[in-house]
Formats: sequence, structure tokens, C-alpha cells
Amino acid sequence: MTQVWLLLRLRLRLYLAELRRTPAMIVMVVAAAAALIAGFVGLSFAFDGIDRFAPAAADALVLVTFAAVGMFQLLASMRWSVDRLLLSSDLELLLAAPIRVAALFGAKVVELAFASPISLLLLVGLSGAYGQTRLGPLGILAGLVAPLVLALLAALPGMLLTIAIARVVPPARLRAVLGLLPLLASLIYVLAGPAVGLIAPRFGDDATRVQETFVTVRAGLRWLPTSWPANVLLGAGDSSLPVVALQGVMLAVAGAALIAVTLSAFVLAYEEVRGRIAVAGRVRRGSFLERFTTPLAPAVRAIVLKDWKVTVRDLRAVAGLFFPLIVFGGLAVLSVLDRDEGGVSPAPVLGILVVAGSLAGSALLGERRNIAILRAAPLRPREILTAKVVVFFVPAVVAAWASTIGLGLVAGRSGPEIVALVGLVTWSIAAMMIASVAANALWADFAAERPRLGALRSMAGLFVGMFLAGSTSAVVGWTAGRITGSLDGPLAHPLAGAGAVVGLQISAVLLVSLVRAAERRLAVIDAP
Amino acid sequence: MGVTDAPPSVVAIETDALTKRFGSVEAVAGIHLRVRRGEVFGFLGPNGAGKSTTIRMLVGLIRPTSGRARVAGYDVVETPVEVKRRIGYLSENPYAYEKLTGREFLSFIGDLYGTDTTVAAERAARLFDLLELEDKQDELVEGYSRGMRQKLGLAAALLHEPEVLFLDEPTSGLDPRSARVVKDLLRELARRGRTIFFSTHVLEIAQNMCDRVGIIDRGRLVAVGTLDELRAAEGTTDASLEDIFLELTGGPEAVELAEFLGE
Repeated sequence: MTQVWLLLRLRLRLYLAELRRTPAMIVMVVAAAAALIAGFVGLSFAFDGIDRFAPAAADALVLVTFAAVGMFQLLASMRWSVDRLLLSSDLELLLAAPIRVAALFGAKVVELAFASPISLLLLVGLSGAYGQTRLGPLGILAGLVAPLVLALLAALPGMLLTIAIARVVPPARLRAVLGLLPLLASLIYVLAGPAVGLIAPRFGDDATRVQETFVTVRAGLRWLPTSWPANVLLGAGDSSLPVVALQGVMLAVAGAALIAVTLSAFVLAYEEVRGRIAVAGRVRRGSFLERFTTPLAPAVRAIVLKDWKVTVRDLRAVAGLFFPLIVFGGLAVLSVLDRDEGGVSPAPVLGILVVAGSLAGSALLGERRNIAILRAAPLRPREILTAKVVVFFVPAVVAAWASTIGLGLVAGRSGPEIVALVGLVTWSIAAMMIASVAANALWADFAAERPRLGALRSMAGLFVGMFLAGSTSAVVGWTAGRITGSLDGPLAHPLAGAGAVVGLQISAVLLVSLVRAAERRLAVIDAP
Repeated sequence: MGVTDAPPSVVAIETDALTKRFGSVEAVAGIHLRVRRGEVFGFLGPNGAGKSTTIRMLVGLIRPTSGRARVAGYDVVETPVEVKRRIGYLSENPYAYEKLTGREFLSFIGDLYGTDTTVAAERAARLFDLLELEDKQDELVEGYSRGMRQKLGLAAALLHEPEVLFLDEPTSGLDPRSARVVKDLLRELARRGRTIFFSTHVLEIAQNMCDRVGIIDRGRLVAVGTLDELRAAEGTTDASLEDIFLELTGGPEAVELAEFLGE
């Protein structure tokens, strides 16, 4: 146990050191803590209401959340098992040190369990609120402990499944199979919202029907392994102490057995699995993408192709690319389902614009110290910037077009209107991506272990892109309105149109200045 | 005719009061240096003496604080792209993309330097063969050992057949067999008239391979010349390069270390 704590303390110290170096991380931690507290307080109030209306619904809500978060944790731990355990650079270093394998394993399990903390924090908030509502102040403690037990228990089968997959799946397909995990994990989040949104309105105000339905749901969910820690918490609410104690003992026995099996599998198989995952790196050369990018300048094309290859082989990069697009795609679906007479919300498209900017910026930041390769090559800064804009342009445009066309059709827009909107969205995505890449080139510290742009500088880049996108929309909208005669009041005045044009000019000058400054910096930056 | 008096057309690398400061620290202090075309020049110095910083200025990765440098006839600050077209560079810690295979990495480098795809593929195959990486060329770089990465970095530096080659510790991390391969490769390149500017801590390599060496200490170039010229400057006829190096850069640390370990 001492050695486990030693390893965890070491890891904690590394995280803290990183936090100290990057103020943006501190903002994230504060935001997460604020979300936890706000979630707890908000849910405490909500539970009072739900409990009075239909007590079984409150229990089922806890179980549903445990099941969903448990499944997410399982997939997340499978994903992190590859990067942070089997391919982790410190694994061999630690195995070579005088540390017991069991201690190393224990530390890695804890690390994997808390590798994706956001969903866990939400669960802790909900579970704590539930415990307080049902059991009083002491129940908060039980509500906090149960999710932690769930996280640890979900990490173990995650590791076990990864080891099993790596041993069974042929190396050539291993990366593709493991690459699907972040997508599956993302889908749990995306589908949970629409599912609840679709089910909830069907009950109306019929309390008895709600109660009966959730009694059935609760009974079914209690059998799910991911619900076992919640069962102890729920049992404390309506069962006698011996029953709760028995469930707790069963949970402990199941946990101990799982630990023993996973530890054995890890000890026996990690070396072979590590080798197989490394061998999975053998890949065939693709030719379709090379043909697809022929119109690009050779150096730009080389960087774009390189970034695509690197991205699809990096599980974190795949998740970073698809998760936001899936989330905003899901929001677009929700927006359509929840549409009222006033039409559909354009928020998902705006979200995709922001994500597109962020993706383009991350393409440049992803170079890290390898920016030296590009700096040492006979390239002009503009070629590097262009390549980084192009890299994720296609997926961002496809997502934005799909959302725009879908929302446009649902909102009953005409064909020409939809075409104009698609054109505007494409232009806006280009503006966002150029501004973001330029901001990152201008301000990023590539020598950092994980280069990041501060919140203010990121906002500045997004602002320049948004300003250009907004002012272009204003000019196009005003012109279209004047032609069709749909504008009235002050908006119809020529001064409003002139204001929009001036805004467009200012935003264009801002963007060009930002790009020029980025080029100058990229030309003289000291490569790490 | 001495190197210092050589006309510009035969000078491959030329620096004039080249200086780099990082804040208040002067990493390179006004270096004057000329290296002829086709010359193998060894750049020696203790850790932190300014070797890598000098090389990184010459390849255009960092900007000099003051002074000038010309490589292959072009100013590194005024015309960096022209310089980069003509040079190859191997970093002390070679850069590479973990998620590319070795073959893909070289193909990428070939595209960056505008080398014809077929020619680049042929050269890459030859280099993989020469550097004994042929069975690893379709594996991701993340699975490469330190020495394999070093060899991949060297292959990347050689792929576009540069006029001037800058190598920062080229044999670092290599096993004796690989180090021998690299040394033979450098000799062959020198025979073909390539200019090679490399830093190393292995003084035996410098003594055997270099036409001339430069010794830098605390950012200052304390000696330049052939081994005989350095011996003459030190007033000796049979001193090894190691003796001269330690004499010029000081060497009491080893004694102190031995005393410490003895305690």
C-alpha cells in the first residue's frame, strides 16, 4: 500500500506541476469544482421534488446515471489502458524499479479510474445529493464513496477487456478496433440526452404511471454490474442494515475477485500485449487520400497527409476530433426534435464553427517540438499555416453542411436560402480556422510539454474569426433583405448596410493583420 | 592558402561575430568561423558550451542575437529558405512523428524538401538498407529505440542529398556497430565533396575523421585548426586531441568526482 501511495503521490506531483505551469488548467479545475458544487446543490433541490412526485423515479435516476457513467468509465479505461498503461513510457521504468508489480498495478488502476473525471464528478454530485435527500448529512458521504467505488471497479474490466482484445484481434485490425472506443464513449453522452428528452414528455403529469414505470426500470437496472455500488447506497435508503451489509460484502468479494483476475492477466500478458499493440503500428500506405489532395501545393499536401495519418492513429486525437462534432451533431438532432413554432435553433452550427476553429488551432499545437522539422525545412510560414487550416477543414465543413442543410429543411427554408446559408457557413468556417491557426502560431509556446493557448488568447483568435463571420452574415443578410424587401424599421436604412460593410472591412483587416503577425512569428520563432 | 583567406565560393559555412543570448545568459559569444566546401569539421566542447546553439543558428532554427552567418553562400537570417534547401540537419534529440512509420516519415521529409517522390522512395530504401532499418521501415516510430530514431533522423537529413550536413552528436545512442556504419557513411559523403559540420563528445571520432576541429567553451571559440595546428598552438608535438581538449576547457571536475566517490 505504501508503494501504491508513493507512485500515486509521484503522479499527483506531476499533475500539480503541470497545473502550476498552465493557468488554463487551473481554470478548468475551478470550473469542474464549480460544476460539482452547482450540480450537488441543484440536484438536492431537484431530488426533493422528484422524491415527492415519484420516489421510484429518484432511485431509477441514480441507477440510470450509475449505469451510464459506469459504461462510460469502462470504455474510457479501455481507451486509457492503451495510452497510459500498455504503451505508457514509464511502464518499463517502473517495472525496472524495486516496486512490486501489484503496487504498480494498483497505482495504474487508480490512475485509469480517474483519467476521465468529468462524468465522474457529475455522478458524485448527483449521488451526493441523493444521499443527502434520503439519508441526511451522513448520506452525503455514502453518496460520495459509491461513485469512487464504481470508478475503480469499472477500470478493472476495462483493462481486462483491452488485454483480451489485444490478444484476440489480429494486429492489423487492432488499432481500428481500439480507435472505435472513444466514439462509443462519446455516443453514450450524445444518445443519453435525446433518449431522456424523448421519454420524459410521454408521461405528462400522471404520477402513478411515472411511479409504476420507474419501479420496473429500477428493478431491471439493479441487476447491472455497474449499478452494484449504487445498490448499497439505495439499499441504505429502504432496506434493513443486514441487507445493505450483505450487498456491501458481495460488492467487496466481487471487487476482490476482479482485482485478482485482472492483476493476473496483467502480469501474464502485458509484455505480449504491449508488443502486439506496437506491431499494430505496421500499416499499409493509403493511396486514395494522396490522390484526393493532389491539387494542394506539395509541401502543404505533405503536411496535410502527415497530419491525417498521425490523427487517425492517435486515440486521443480521434476522440478530440470526433467528440465535439458528435456532440454538436447530437445537439442538431435535439434542436430538430424540440423545435417549436418559432423555428429551430442555429446553436449547433455556431458550435461547429467554434469547434472548427479549435481543431485547426490544435493541428498546429499538435506539432509540439516537431515544429522544428517544419522550421528546418525550406518552407514559407504561409505554407505551414495553410496546411494547418486545410487539415480539418473537410470534416468540419461536412458536419457544418449536414447541420445547416438539416436545420434549414426542418425550418422550411427554400433551396436558394439553404445554398446561401451553406456558402456562408463554409466561409465562416474558413475564417474561424484561419484566425485560430494564426492566433496559435502567434502566441503558442511550442517548447511546452503540452502546448496550449491561454483562455484570453484563444478567445481573441475566435473573436477575430467570429467577427468576420458575423459581419459577412450581416452584409449578406442586409443585401438579401433589401432585395426581397423583408427588412423594415431601422434595419432597412442604408446606414445599417453601411455599418455592416464597415464591420466587414474592419474584421478583414484584423484577420489579415493577425495572419501577417503569425507569419512573422513563425519565421523567427526559436524552435524548441 | 589558409581557410581564413579562402574566397567565398569555396567557403561553405561562414560566421561573423555570431552571438546568441538567452536573457542574461550569453550562450554563444561572437564566434568567427569559416568552413570550406568538402571539409569535415568537428565542433567540440563540454556540455552547455554552446555547440548545439551554434548549430541551431546555422540551420535557421533560432535567430542570432547579433552577428552574421552564411551557409552555402546564403545568409541564414536574410534567406533562410535558400539555406534550408541546401542543408541537412540531425538534431541531438532527433525529431520525428511517433504515429508515422519510418518510411512515411522519410516520404514526408522528401515532400517537404521538394524531392521527386520516386527518387525519394529509392533513396529512402537505400538509406534504410544502409542504416540497417529495412525491417523496421513499416513500423511506427513510437516503437523505435533511441538508436533507431537517431538513424532515422540521419536518413532524413541525408534524403535530399544536401550540400552541407549539420550533425549534432550523430553517434549518440548508437551501438558500436551502428556508430561504425555512420562513421563510414560520413567518410563516404566527405569523399564525395559534401561539407560536414558535426559536434561530438567522442574525441576519437573527431581525431580520426575531421579535417579540422573547433573547440568551444562557455560560448567562446577557444581553438580552431587541424590537430597539428592545435598541437603547435599548445607547444606540443604528440598530445592527443583529448589532452588538448582538456587543457583548453579545464578538467578538474573528474578529480573532484573521484575524490567524492572515494569518500
